[in-house]
Amino acid sequence: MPPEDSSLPDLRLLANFVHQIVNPLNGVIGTVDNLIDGSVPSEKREQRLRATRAQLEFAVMIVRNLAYFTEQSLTPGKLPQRDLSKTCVIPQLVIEAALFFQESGISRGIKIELTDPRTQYAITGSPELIRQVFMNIFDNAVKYSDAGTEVTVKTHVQKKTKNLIIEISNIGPGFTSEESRTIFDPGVRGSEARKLIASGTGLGLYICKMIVEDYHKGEVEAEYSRATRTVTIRLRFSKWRIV
Amino acid sequence: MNELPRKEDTILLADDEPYHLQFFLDYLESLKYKTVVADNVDNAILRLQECRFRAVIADLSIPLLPPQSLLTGRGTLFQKYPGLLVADYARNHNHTGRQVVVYSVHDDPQVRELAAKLGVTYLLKGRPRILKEEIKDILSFDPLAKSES
Repeated sequence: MPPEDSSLPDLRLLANFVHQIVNPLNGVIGTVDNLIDGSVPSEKREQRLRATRAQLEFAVMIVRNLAYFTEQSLTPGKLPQRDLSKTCVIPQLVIEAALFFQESGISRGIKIELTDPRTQYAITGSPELIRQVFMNIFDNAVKYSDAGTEVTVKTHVQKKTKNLIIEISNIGPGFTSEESRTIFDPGVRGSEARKLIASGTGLGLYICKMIVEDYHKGEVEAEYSRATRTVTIRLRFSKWRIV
Repeated sequence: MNELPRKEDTILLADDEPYHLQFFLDYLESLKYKTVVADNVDNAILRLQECRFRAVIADLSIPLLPPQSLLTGRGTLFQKYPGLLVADYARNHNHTGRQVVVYSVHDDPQVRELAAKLGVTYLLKGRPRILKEEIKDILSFDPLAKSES
């Protein structure tokens, strides 16, 4: 839910947002400047352009999170209307979202792996919103995973409930059991995340919950295994099909 | 104060999101400099205990690891901008003010005041060309030659 007094902007969140958005834009401007003044050798230019595109896509992702948050805050108790009538093909959306993080993943030796890209599980809803869910989850995973590890996306149908389960797991620091109760709240960041990267909006998982639960009537949960240092974000949909 | 070994060809960059600073690493490489990246205050200070760098560039918003003992006796400004601890340490350990640059997304008059006291350069993030020009200027003369003259 949005903050109780949603008529007032959350200034701290806005300050964090400014920090988050300036970082990639600073990188884009700097790279373009380097390309103009010849500071990048020719053999590295293509990769730097790809990284620049990824930084811009990242910036748009952050802006979209803020837009979703703002729109919802402006209409308390009522969800802004979206077109939820389209087919969301899960493997396709996972791959599209993963592509946005290819370059930042490479820089940390992190790969996103969809274990079953062939089974075309689908739900009805908004592909754009569902893609944003995966982007937010991958953003966290690529930022906070141990370097050189893999982010895995597993899809399966739970035998007992017949629900479609999508599990995204990564290895690295997670959150305490106490924090797991608030990790989907707006503006909340785990203490371990703050040790690695000082600033963040704390909006990503909140937006995920809103999109999955409020718009698509699914469920989202997060768990952390200290034994295996594995963070798992689990999405659950009772209505699904194979296309 | 003991003189540390000098790394005249290396810049210390204290930033927790170096992926977004690839442009700066490329630029320094084009000027034939190496870069050591420290992603939190504690690591940056460990690096500063090892040697004297050609220049030290620090993001003001980088993590300070628990137990945050470096904040003991410090004001709230250091708590708000932990990167100031890197600048302060560098200034008190073998680095001249001209060798140290701090930058932030936010333009804070209190930081400006402290940066002036420390004699370090304070830049706003989002203007990469200014950062490039500043580092080029810093690298254009040898601070040791100047301080020893």
